[in-house]
Amino acid sequence: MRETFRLSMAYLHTWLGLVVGFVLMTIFFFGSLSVFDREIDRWSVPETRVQAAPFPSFDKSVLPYIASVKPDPESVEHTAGEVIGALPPPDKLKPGDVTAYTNHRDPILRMYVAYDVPNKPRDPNLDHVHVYGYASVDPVTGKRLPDEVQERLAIGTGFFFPLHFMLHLEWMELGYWIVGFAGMVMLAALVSGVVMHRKIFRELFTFRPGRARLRSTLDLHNMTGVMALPFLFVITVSGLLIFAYLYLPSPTSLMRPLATAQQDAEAASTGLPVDPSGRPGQLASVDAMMAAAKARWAAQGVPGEIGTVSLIHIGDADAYVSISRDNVDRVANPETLHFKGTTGALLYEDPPASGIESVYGFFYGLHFQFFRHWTLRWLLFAGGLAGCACIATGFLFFVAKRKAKHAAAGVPGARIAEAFAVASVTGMLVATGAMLLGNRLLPTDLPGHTGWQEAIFWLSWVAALLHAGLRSRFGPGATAAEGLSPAWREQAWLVSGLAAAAAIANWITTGDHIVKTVGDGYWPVAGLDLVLLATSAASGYAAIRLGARLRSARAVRVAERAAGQEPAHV
Amino acid sequence: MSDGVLTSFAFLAALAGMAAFALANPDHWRQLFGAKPQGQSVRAACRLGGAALLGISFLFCALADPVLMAILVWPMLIGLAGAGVAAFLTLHARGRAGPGGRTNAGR
Amino acid sequence: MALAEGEHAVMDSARVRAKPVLVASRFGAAIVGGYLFTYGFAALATLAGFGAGLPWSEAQTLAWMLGALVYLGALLWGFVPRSTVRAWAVLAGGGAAMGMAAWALSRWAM
Repeated sequence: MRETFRLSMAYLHTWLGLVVGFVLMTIFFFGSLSVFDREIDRWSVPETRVQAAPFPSFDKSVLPYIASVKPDPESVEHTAGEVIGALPPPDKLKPGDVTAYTNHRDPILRMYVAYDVPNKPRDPNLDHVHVYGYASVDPVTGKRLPDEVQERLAIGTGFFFPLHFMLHLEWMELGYWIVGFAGMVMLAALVSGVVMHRKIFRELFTFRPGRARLRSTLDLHNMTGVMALPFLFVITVSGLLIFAYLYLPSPTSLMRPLATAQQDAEAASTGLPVDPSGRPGQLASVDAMMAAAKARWAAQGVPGEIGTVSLIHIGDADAYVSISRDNVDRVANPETLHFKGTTGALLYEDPPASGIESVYGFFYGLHFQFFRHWTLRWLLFAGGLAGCACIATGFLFFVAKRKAKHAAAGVPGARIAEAFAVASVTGMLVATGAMLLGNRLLPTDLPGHTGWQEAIFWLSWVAALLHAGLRSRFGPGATAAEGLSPAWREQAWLVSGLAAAAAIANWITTGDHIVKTVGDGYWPVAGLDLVLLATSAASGYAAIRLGARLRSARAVRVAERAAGQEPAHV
Repeated sequence: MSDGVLTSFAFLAALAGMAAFALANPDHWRQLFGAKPQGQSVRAACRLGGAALLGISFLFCALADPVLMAILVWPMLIGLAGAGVAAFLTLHARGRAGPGGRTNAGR
Repeated sequence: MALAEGEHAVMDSARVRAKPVLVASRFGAAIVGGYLFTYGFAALATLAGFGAGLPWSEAQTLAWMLGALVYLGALLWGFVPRSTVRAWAVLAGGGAAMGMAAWALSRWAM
């Protein structure tokens, strides 16, 4: 029974891994980049390359700007699809709440205004929906950034980050579901991989690059999987738990009367007004509330900075202000205080998290990584890349195992898998490098600047896939029954060039070159440039080694054919 | 001691601990120390020492950071240390085999 | 053999191909059946936690956390029984049963 259980696990590991592996590569690669998403934002919008500063005055730097914020057109479009009936015109929407935050990684203070929407939502699980508008404020000058700068694509938080949790597939939230399924398959692959791996402890440190490629590929696959196993399992589970409300709505959808009654009771128990009273009210000084919050935390033995401030029910007599501590020294559950808007008195203090809330909060926090701990941040980044290496070597093993057999049988399976493998490894790097380069080279006053950058990304990726597909069939060395497709080497060169070009383009277009940014200690930009240059070097080295291996393999084949022998299996 | 120094010590302890676990494996022992594999008691001592060193590594992590953060840093350091030990064993084996030679690292 | 007659633990085989319908059914049982099982579980577990004295939101959070492991178990187990029909029955059937129980009990409790 043991042996057949292992075989079942091997079966599902191989086939689920193959089908979903490409999605998982995307999630893990762009998830790894998302660890540094805000730093990538600094790089892609040079006007935001400022030093972080403490939370500025809310009364002077946030409140006055609420009136000047307009509903974001994309948000209007998105919400229009979520409600019954037509939305009121954007300029008639009233601001309901405003939230503002800044921290050591978000030097530009972001504020988002939630506009009340009178329409009923289509989804019965939702109470009401909002339309959102955004503004960015320089915390040092206290002035709003020009709209033109605000509308620029922040490639980290605005593109790579959402790509990793919903693949930019909004329709019917399909992207969220595909990512969720891929995440569960990842967990299944980790467990089944351990079950399959008979000599997991014996071979814990084993990597034999001198042996046949099949063996050494499998060694590397096993090693990256096992060394990063705790990380891979926990980061995947935590990601899934963040969207648990979406994947498992059954407690509400199957038990709606009980669920809504309980949710309403829990909201009422805090004493915070869920709905505005409808009567106008004068707001007291929010800065005074912020000072009171900091004093209270200091008195409780957890002194800290302000992280987030929310004003709920703007202009209403029942308005209240929620202030959260900037959670730089913890994984989860920041302290939050709620003050009455008209008087500044403390209304409610969030109680300490219960056992269950602490566990969930821990998973949430280790995935979102709000803490200031650069060593841990880099370690998690390395873990994500190890996940990519594990998945990629899994593909390579699958392909290498079957390539010769499939070629002999005239079956295209292995070649197709290899083309997709190329697209999901080097192809993904090509798309990323091309997008960053495009970000630097495209003129910022180009209409649709954001759309052009995104188009460059997607089109480069498709082109890489097409190139890989064509090269698996055509060109010198293409249809070799053994060995790697020439697309690997060619795309490795392309990645090398694009990564270096992006770093150089940053220098030319902004004047921020490596020596300057390292010297100034402006690590968000220095870090990305260094990673780009390291990627360029590593990719170039890989291309050189692949070329050398190709030449020696060809020489061996020529010699053997000349001697009238069968070509040896690599 | 600064947090950076403490974390470095944590990493060194993890490295030593993973090296000890590697030495508990007869193949790796033979690779580094010659033909005769170690006896059972030496193997057990290696595993015990390895576990102790990993424990010391956690203590250093907990000194550098709040415990809940240490719980995140520690397994990552162990993974990195394990990769480092594996890299050392691989390069050592290749060095012995000479350029282009087939190695017998592992089996 | 853990898999039924028409299927093989295919590591790599050009010899006998499993009938596509049976393979699809096996994956369906594990993936879809497993999801239905977890969907029902999350509701019933929330109700159970609430009944045991937890606040509703905490009972729900606990059910979600357990649900991740439950789906993982269901997904893996779906490949184990000899008969695909059995996998479907246990997973989809179990999920439906748990879901209906939660639906009924919650209304009775109110």
